[in-house]
Amino acid sequence: MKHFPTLALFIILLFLSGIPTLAREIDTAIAAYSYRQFSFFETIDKVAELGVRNLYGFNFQTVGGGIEGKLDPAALSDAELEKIRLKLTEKKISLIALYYGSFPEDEAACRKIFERSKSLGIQTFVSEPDPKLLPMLDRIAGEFGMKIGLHGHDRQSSPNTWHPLLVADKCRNLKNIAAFNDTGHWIRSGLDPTDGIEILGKFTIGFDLHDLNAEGKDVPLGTGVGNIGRMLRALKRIPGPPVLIGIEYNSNPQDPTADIKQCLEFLKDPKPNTSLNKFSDGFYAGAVSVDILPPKPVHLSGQFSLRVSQGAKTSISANILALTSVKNGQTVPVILISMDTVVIREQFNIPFRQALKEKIPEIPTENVIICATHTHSAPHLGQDRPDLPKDGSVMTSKEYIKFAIDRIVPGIRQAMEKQVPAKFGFGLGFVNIAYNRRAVYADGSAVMYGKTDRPDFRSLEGMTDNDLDMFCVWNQKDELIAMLLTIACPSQENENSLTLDGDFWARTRESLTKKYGKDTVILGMCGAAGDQSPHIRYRAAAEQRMTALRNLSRADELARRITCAVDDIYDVVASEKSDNPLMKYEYLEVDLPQRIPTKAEYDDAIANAERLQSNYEKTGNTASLGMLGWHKRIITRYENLKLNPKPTYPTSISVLRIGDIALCTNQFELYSDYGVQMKARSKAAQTFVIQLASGAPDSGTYLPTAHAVKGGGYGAVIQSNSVGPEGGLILTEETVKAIERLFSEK
Amino acid sequence: MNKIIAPIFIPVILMLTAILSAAQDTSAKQEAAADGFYASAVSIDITPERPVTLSGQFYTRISKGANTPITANVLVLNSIRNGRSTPAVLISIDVVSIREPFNITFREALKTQFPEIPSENIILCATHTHAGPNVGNDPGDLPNDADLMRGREYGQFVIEKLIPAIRQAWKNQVPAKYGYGLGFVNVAYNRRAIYADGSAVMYGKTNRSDFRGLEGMTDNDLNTLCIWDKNDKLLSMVLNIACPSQENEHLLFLDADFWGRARSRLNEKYGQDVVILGLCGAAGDQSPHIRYRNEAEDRMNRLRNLSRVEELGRRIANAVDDIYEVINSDKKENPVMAFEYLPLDLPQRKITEKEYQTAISESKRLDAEYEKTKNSSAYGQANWHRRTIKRYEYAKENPNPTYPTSICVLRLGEIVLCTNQFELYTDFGIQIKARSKAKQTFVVQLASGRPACGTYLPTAFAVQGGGYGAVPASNMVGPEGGLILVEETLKVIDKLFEE
Repeated sequence: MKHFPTLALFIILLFLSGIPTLAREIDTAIAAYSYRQFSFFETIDKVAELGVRNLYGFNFQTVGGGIEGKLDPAALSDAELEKIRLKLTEKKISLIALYYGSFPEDEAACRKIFERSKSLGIQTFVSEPDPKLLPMLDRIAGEFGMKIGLHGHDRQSSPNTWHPLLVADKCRNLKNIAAFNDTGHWIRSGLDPTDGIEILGKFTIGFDLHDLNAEGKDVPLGTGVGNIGRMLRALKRIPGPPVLIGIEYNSNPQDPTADIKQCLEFLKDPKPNTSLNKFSDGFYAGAVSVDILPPKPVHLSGQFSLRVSQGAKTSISANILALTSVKNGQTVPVILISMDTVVIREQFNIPFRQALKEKIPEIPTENVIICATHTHSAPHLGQDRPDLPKDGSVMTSKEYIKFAIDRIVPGIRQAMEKQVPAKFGFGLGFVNIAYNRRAVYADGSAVMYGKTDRPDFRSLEGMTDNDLDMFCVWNQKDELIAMLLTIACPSQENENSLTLDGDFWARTRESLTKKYGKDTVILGMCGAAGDQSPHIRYRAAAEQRMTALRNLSRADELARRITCAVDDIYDVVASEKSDNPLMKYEYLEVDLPQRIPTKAEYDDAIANAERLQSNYEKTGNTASLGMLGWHKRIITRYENLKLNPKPTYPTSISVLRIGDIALCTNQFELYSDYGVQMKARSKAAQTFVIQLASGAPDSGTYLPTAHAVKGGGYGAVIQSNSVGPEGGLILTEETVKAIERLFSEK
Repeated sequence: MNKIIAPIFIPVILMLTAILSAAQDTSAKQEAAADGFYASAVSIDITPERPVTLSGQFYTRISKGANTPITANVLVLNSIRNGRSTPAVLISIDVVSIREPFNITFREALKTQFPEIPSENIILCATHTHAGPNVGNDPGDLPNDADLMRGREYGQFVIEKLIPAIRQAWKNQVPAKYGYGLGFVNVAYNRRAIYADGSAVMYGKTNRSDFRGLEGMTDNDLNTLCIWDKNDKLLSMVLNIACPSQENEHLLFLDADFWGRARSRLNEKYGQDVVILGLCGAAGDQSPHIRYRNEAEDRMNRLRNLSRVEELGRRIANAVDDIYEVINSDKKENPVMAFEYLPLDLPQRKITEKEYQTAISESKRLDAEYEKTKNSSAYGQANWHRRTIKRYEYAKENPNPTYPTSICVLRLGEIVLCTNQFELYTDFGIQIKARSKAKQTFVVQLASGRPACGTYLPTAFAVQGGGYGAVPASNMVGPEGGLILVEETLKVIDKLFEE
């Protein structure tokens, strides 16, 4: 009996939870909302014809059968209730659940609803009550032996219940209230229904079951993008209380019966949907924008000091484009993702790739390119800092990573399912948003964000690449599906914000979707810009004055410029669409030589680490803590040289050819000169160089030029660089060679 | 105009114009007496009527006609405060540079024909088109063709048109408003490619495997100054872009390059009588030629059905459109105006013994080549090296030679416009902008000098890389002088902003 204490605790916990967790019973009901164009009495007849026993009503349906009012038991007379009971009995239908939008604050009024509903045989309410009423409702439901299922729509209409994490949180201490979500809203919000019920675990007592097509419309279960079969299998596997599946079918409201029959058939034998992804020769594209705004405060990533989010200024999203080319039966699939985050860290990348393997096995994970916009005001994707509050008020990185993966992976699936025969166009524009952020002084030293009004200021260290590389995909009706925009500037104007902020890309997306259509997906990609920034570096008064006269913030102004630059070239790009561009893809793993710390750099790192450690202990300054880790890594790297004097750094390059363009990625904050070298030497008519893509598997660091290393300063010192100029040239050569290979075929 | 009826109408029109302008003169004079801010602008056509030498290459080119008009665009500004006038005249002229013979004659003529304001207050700047008429000495290999207009003759032709135009603008001043703003336009590239061995080459290939970067940054600012009359009618726009107007630099036709096209688009939109002054910012190391990934840019031009030079005109016009309403929203009525002309003697770049020897051997080689081939480029380049030889020999007698130059600084309200005569590397312009006390700073190169026209003025970093534009033969003044130029300009700006 040495395991007794653990086992006893488990049993006690089960008992206290009030919800049995043994064998999971699943019952099915037809949601009367499917027949919302009919009266409740007519609905009873139709459900009876389907041969289904259970009905799940809603309290704003007209009753019919000579009864004037709606199906609100508290508002109906005793005689009317009796008439309803008779009708149900006649048709052998049980009204086992009722959607009751909200409950009154008055306890007596609530009791009346419970009492009269129970008299109709209702066991469960599906509702979205005011969170403050939950304890009272939980108590009353217990007294009546009934349950309340918390329902949710999308984030905007149901801020308290749209996400399963939020619902699970609310139900944790309640005995008679659990989740009753809607898989249709989950799918539209980019959430995989399977992930939804896995998050909820035992805290679910039912859901409105929908499957949707790529346009978000209801389709018979098992034929849409929701992977409902997999969800049902998971449901059976997860222990918990009995579950009610409400078949709610929103399409064809005038006559949904045939589709509902198909749903019922599917429930008998839920097979995976095999009718998808069978493309004939051609070029296909589908795109989806997935909301990844965290539901709770998070650690904002991008500075040495700790910042915890206090709300959000803009959307935080992952924008996904699925492209497939089929030629002579050979398929080349590629997924491109732009994610509002500072960098794709290892802690995210590894589970993300695992989830891809499990859930989208048909695409090699190497063909999925995920890139960071580099916003410095998005959730952290790496290891949690030791100074992160541990009282549960802040979402841990692990929680957020799971949250993001649970939304991005289904989003990829959805983008793939949305793929349609497509057209492709591309073009080059210009936008002035970046500055080289390294100031060079008379003594040859360079300083990131160094002052430019000093008498010894000589120049900014290098050029700025103002290209706006753009490609667009349209469907066969010439409706714009997606725009991919590459600009060699990180999206980090608001980098010390305490609110979640997608920076200039979020504002650009907003302004472009207003103009080009709300369904157009905008992928903002960062070109080679390790030495670039959107911060004004000189004659700031002149720029700031223009922004003030326009009554815009700088981030808004940058978005305005990008939008104008897109407007300037869009018609030109649209004037030369190609129907079936040659598409080729190469993923290349490369081991680059690491930049080797010198003895002096090692000594310097030790001294700095000691100073910062002592400073942190004295002051609790979180920036000291962040910088401490930065120096410690150099100490480790130097000491590891004894074991391996020529260490390498594993990385990967992806090169995608679409027609005349090449798109090549790397994981670094790559100095612009390398990007210009690639563009200058590329065989493609136009070359999109993209940095901050997910690596193999680590995230990238600054990759400086030899000229920058001479100047030193943050971004070009050993602490900032895993790979130095030698590796940068190899990266360039390998990329140029891969482009050449892909362009050897005309 | 119909040739038959022209003789009848021309005298009538001229008479009417004279009457009208006399009436206007009187009122302008009356108004000009009162404190206030006054302006007037005029554009004149200075396209030569006969063939000329096109200036801007080592080899000789004779014009075979004109693609665009060649113009001089004049803006007169005058502030009167407590009865004291501060006048300034800005002129943008479609030539490669304001060469010494032209500048001397022009200034002398001003003294007698337009003594109203000091000649120093007249800023004459070249757009740097490489397909404008030569206003300097004729090349030695010019054919003996009577129809050919020589450099001095063309210079005289321009002066005879330009001074009356300035006088006319001066007389036509009206109470004015001004507005300014900053936009962006992508027309320039840094034209110096750097390679793995540290060497730099102007227009060096960028698709070589040892290509490492372009040498420096590009300044994409579009500094704009607009002048309106009291009724908000736009009179003039000053547009300052750090890029020489030299896309079409090997043409055999007169061509005002991208400024010609930009003016034409802007006049179409903002009014045919709006005078557009295109001024070149610090851009010694810049050029409008595409330096890499040419195919991507060329393709866009092809799809737009535009030549590159037309596309550059389109971009400038669009960039103006982007900011015009913002500028218009913040017009100012009576700005503080201050002007300072500062003569400077900058240290000349010294010629080393090795550089001297190279110049001797190169000039000999090129002379021999010219003898053999009559290649006019060889002739031009030999002269270029001979100047280095002369400088070295002069320095033997005068060990610390200086180079006389001048800067002009004009303050207009919150902005400042400062000129120099060089092809000044962009980094110097950035230094001036970054340290300037003004809210917005217009740096203008290729202004008329004291009295010679400017040569390339490179940074220390560029001198390390070498190459055309940063070798001694290209530079009368080196990085040391560049820093002095920057300091002196900033000091004057500081002084003008004391008020």
